[in-house]
Amino acid sequence: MAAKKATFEDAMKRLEKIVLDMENQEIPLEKSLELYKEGAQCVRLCRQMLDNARHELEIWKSGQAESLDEAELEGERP
Amino acid sequence: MDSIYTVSTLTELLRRAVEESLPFVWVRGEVGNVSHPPSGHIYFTLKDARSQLQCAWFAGRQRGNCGFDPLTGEVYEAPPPRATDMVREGVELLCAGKIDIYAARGQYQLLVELARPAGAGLLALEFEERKARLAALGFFALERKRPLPASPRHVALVTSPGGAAIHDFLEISRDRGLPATIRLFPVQVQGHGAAGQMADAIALINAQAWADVIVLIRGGGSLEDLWAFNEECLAKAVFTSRLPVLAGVGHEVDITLADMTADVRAATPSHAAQLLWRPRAELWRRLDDLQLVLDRAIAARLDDARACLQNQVAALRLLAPAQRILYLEEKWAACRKQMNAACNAALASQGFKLQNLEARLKAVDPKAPLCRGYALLHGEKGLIRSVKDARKGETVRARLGDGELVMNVDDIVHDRAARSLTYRDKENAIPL
Repeated sequence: MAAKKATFEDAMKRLEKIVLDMENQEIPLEKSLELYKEGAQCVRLCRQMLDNARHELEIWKSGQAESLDEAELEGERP
Repeated sequence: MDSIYTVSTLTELLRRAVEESLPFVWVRGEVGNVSHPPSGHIYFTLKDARSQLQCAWFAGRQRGNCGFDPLTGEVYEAPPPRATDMVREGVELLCAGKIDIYAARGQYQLLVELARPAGAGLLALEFEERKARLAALGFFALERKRPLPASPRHVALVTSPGGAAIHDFLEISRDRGLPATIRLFPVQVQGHGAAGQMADAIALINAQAWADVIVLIRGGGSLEDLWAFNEECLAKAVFTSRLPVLAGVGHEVDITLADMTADVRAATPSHAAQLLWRPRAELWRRLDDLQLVLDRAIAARLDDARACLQNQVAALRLLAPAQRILYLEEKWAACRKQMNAACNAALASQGFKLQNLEARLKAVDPKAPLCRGYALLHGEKGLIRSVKDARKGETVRARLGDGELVMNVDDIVHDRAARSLTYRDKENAIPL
């Protein structure tokens, strides 16, 4: 999960950099096509990750983290 | 078995015992949980740091308008404060009345007969004292406040699992931020030991070094409900936390020492979630924007390249050999035309010249004067221009326009008279 999140931010950062580079007219056409391809890939990746974005809920219980469903919350008492 | 009572008997015994030992009591405490039903009665609790006492002040007993203080006998100069104004949340009140055992519910309460203000609420006073003390220690100093981490992935949530706060927080979190793990550290947020539990949780979270941020939240409540958040042990735990702490306690108007010590204060638990994460829709929008710019950039780049290519193709077409031949042919045709024109002009000019010469030639034809009566004389030695060129007896031929006459020179007469006349004329000549 953590690795995935890092990838999202990296992908977003990479995408921003690509867009910045693409706006610079100096780069050769072949290079900009390459960049576009990579940028489109980043967009796809980010969309996929946003589509699946969910927070995970854990509870710290008896010295360890346990997965917790929000529906169980009413029953939990400290 | 005299010692076994029914509930009613025991309650009756208690009621009698209380009435006998405490027929009329004075009690001092801080007012809380005030309610004013339409009946005009006032219900509230009197409390101190450890205990609460339910109080009822019935409308018929609220003798605020008798003109004098029933306790001291002081005659009011101004109208006395009304009961509803006096019984306010958080004020310290001195109440007199009798303890009533309410058998139907097994509860006891103070039936208030008299009340008078007893200074600012103790809790409020204590809050102010602690606030001043902690402020002096630098707990609330702005320069030690840390910003919240951007896009936290590990969030330690310190709150009660059964409260409204966690639901509000999770509800708002659902559509915000990048996926994170929220680890709930279940604690009491109210009552004895709550502050200690929360302080311990914060210390534990710091020891674990797992979380990016600590979120301390609790739903709304009265001053004493939120009192745990004013305990110094909690404020100290927040103050010493190595991880940034975001606190959202009660409603917007509720300010606690834990709030004030936290790095970031949220007005409510929902607000805490808002401060922690940006709406996911914003991320979508940012992504859409980036994609748009990306698409536009590549389209512009391709358009440029296409335009450049078209220019080159046009240039190449212009430089093609066929085009060159066409150009040269056109040039050749133009040259030829020009040459013809130049020749014609030259010819015309020579023609004029010829005609002119012809005319001039005609004018100097020696035969022309002969036709008019002049004659050319040819002697034996050629053309005779002077009488000196001829001799007596010589045969000369006179050329006329239409033939010759052959003649003999009989005499030669010099033209002296003419010459002397010429001299005379010269002498008589009037200079011009």
